[in-house]
Amino acid sequence: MKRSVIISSIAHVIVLGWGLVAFAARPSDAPPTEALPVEFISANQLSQLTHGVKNAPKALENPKPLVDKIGEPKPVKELAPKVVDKPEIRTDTAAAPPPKPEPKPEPKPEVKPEPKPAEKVEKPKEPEPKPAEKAEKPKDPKPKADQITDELKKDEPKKPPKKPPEFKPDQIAEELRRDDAKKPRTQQKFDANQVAALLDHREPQRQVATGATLSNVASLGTPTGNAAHLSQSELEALRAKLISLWNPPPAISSTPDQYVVTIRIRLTRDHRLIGSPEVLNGGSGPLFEATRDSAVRAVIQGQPYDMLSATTYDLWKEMDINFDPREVFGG
Amino acid sequence: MADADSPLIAQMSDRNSNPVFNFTRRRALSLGAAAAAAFAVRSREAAAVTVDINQANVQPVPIAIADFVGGGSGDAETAQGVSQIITNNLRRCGLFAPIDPAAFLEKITNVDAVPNFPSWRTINAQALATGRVTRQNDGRLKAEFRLWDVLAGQQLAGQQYFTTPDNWRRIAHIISDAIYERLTGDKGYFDSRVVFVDETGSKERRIKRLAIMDQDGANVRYLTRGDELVLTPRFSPSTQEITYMAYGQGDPRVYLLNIETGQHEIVGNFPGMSFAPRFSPDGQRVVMSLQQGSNSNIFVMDLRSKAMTRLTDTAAIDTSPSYAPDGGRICFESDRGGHPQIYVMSASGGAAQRISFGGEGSYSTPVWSPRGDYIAFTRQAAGKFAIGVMKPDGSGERILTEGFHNEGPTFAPNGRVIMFFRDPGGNAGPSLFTIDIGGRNELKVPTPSFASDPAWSPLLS
Repeated sequence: MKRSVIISSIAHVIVLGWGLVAFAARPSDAPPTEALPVEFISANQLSQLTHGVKNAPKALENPKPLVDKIGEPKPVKELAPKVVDKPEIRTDTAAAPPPKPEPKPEPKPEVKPEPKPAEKVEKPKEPEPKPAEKAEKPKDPKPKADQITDELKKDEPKKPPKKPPEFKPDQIAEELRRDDAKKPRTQQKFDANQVAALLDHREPQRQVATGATLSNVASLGTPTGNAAHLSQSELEALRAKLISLWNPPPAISSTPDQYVVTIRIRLTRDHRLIGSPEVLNGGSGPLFEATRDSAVRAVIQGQPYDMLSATTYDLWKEMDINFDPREVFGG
Repeated sequence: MADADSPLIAQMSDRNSNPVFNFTRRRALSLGAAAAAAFAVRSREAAAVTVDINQANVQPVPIAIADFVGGGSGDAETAQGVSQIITNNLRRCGLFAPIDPAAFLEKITNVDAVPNFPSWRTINAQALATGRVTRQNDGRLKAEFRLWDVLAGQQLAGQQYFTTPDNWRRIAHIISDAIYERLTGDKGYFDSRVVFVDETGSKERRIKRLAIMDQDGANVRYLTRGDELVLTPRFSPSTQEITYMAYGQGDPRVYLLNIETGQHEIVGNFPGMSFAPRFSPDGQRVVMSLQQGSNSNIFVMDLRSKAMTRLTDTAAIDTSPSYAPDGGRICFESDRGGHPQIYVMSASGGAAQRISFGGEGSYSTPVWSPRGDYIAFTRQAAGKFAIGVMKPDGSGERILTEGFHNEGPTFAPNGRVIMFFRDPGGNAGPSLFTIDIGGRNELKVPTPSFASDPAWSPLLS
């Protein structure tokens, strides 16, 4: 009785202990994933932000290289190299390329065709590497150009030796048995660690181009091909700043639709105004003047506009700002 | 009072005296039709980015009012007084936040020099007013001011005025109006006066006198001696005349008073009581109520021909008529529906349309704003008196203040501020208050004693 209790308790301790170790050792949490900032913008906004200008001036003949960041000059490599020296593919029907075929065609037919009929069945495993080696041998500077014709020619001489071999049923069975013995049956095992090896270890395609001066004029045909645009958060930050600074005169509240003011501002790279803000729409009367001045004061006070990213300078170097009091006064 | 006759000359802007401002963007904009046309024709391409700002942060504009400079010895006190009145006016109107002079980094000593804008930007001033007061050799006072946009770094306005030395307060009000108008785009109201009923003595033996003062409570002057009870004074919109109701001997009557000459005159000679008078916008007619038995109806009297025209004919009490600023319509109070409510009808009479539908309460003393956009009223409901405004079609009703007893709204000349009187009850008497039509910035108006029934004058200049 006592012994059975002891045995039982020891067994329980072992089982529980094993469970403790086994389950605790296995981390159950998935590694935390890094959060990706996502912004929602409407398709309309996207097209507005990315649309090109039809009558924009053509890029210079020698445009400045793309530079996103100031630093040691390190141009971005073209990851999809342009096909410049693509060799012409010629076929036999085209004008005969006389010099190339000379070294190859002759030797092949003589070397191969002698195989003894008995070995014929086994042989087919090896023939592939050999012709390949042979094809590489000729140290011709432009071997690939002729590959197709070569292959065609290689095939031709091989055809004649294909005489129907004499098949002996016993022999075949014997051969098969021998094959089985030779090849250890190795079954492919799945190894998760090897998956990593299969992954592409090349660097991410787009890198920051550094140089002495900023230039966000990307050259024609960048791999990604997306137009630069102001992010929604930049625009929102800009709007929030101007809203907090705009103090229109309350007297426009009865007819606010008459006092919409559009102001064009030009900015330096360090986010400051160039010259005075330009009022684009005309108007007259003391109320319009007071409204206009309140808008001008807001854009002057808003300096520096450092919520705008340096990489999109081309977009925000000139901006039109509509100061619209209609919603302010519930009109 | 000789104020209105005093020589007061506003000269042209003296911007050209300073070569720095000979050609500013503002001037360029105002060059005339040719320039405007060129401006419009100039083709523009939209910038790559367009930002819409459809909200704002409406708040008092921070303004620095530098102490005005005394042009000669002995002018410093007047100059300082002028800048203090301007500061007080702009602060009281609620649209400006004058900055404490103790924070100023630059002391303005030369009004003709361009101020050091960065030092004014540092104290967050958006506008800066500077000026100078000089007594001339001929005894007149010369007052000049400049208004600067601190952020844009340019002059917004500049004027000089000449007047008699005892008129210096009015100069300060005129400069206040010029600053107000340039920065808000709206007409000012500081150069105006208020007529009211001054109340002294115990509650049982209250003496009521007609009095007049500047809108800021200064320069109080009594127009009647207090031997008769006066009520509901109203300013003429175009002349230096007041109409009011007084209990003399017999029935209460409507009077006209010329505040320059002190001449009194009874308007018409009717059997029974006449009350609640008010001028037409052109000042040529007085509209009022005449008692007919237990009812009253509205009549208008041409002041020149003395011809009376009946406007309403109901078995009800129609009273408190007030003209729209264009003279085309009249709003008034009537209990024809059972309770006093506000109605609007054509200025020539005819059918009236009720515009007040605010539940249980009764509405009285309607006043049409000089801007035409609102009608102010007194609403009595649940034992409380409230002052409110509504649009002339009755929509957009808004109560501005409510309490034990608030009554008698009157609009400032620009229609942005309302003055009324409030009686706290008990042994205390009524006082005057101002509030803006948004219901903000309620302020007590200083008066020498109790005061009621205010009526705001039009602008004096």
